[in-house]
Amino acid sequence: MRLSPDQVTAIRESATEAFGEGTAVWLFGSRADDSRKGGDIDLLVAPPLCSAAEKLARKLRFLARLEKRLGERRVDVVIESPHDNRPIVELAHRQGVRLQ
Amino acid sequence: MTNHPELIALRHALDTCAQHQDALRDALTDLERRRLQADELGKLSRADRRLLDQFAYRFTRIQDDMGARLFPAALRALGEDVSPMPAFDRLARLEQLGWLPDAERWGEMRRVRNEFTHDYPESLEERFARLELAIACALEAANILEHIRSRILSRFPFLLHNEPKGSDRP
Repeated sequence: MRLSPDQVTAIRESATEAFGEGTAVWLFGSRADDSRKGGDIDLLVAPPLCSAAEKLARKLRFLARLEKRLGERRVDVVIESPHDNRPIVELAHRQGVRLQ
Repeated sequence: MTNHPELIALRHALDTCAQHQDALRDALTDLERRRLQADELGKLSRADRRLLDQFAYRFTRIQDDMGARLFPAALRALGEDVSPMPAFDRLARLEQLGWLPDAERWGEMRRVRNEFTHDYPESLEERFARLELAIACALEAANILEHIRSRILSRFPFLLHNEPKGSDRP
């Protein structure tokens, strides 16, 4: 995994602040691969159950907090829903590193 | 006076954004009439798809061109040296001058824009929530443009009499 301990802490705390306790987070994509360089930060977030509008509002809050703490780097966030069978979600679970 | 490069660039940026604003308002009016429901997003007619494409294109372009062209052009026309300024500092300076209502809010609107152009397939309810939020932001962007336009024209009134040629328009 190519994130500093401070970056991991920022992601964990921002996820809990935005989505609440019990939110799981995985890092996937190039940053989860030690052999690669640079790249976006790709995150999969599995929050407690909420409506689509609420989920979107919380995701935007999460991105705002990350931008404040990590600077203007590119962060892509995928939110997992119950029984989510999208290929991107499956890939994140298969290749990702669980951050919390 | 109107031949100053800074003012020519400002006039051009303003006209480009006004074009987006006109088309965006047309799309918003049609969306308001159409009253799309979440379940209809899965089986769009050709006309609905075109309407959503028009909305998406103008929604992203108005924000992109305001941020990348109009805001720097306005600051340059006011004599500010924008080249060393990070993006947020430009917004903060415009807010300080009273030309942008809220720099933080502009950042939030950028995130809504980025979210709207995200293309991982999601549920219809999630796509609908994104669309509703984007519509609210589009109205806000159009209003911000109106506010900045009135500031620009009151600061540089001669720009009103310097209409560009039709061929210069996007």
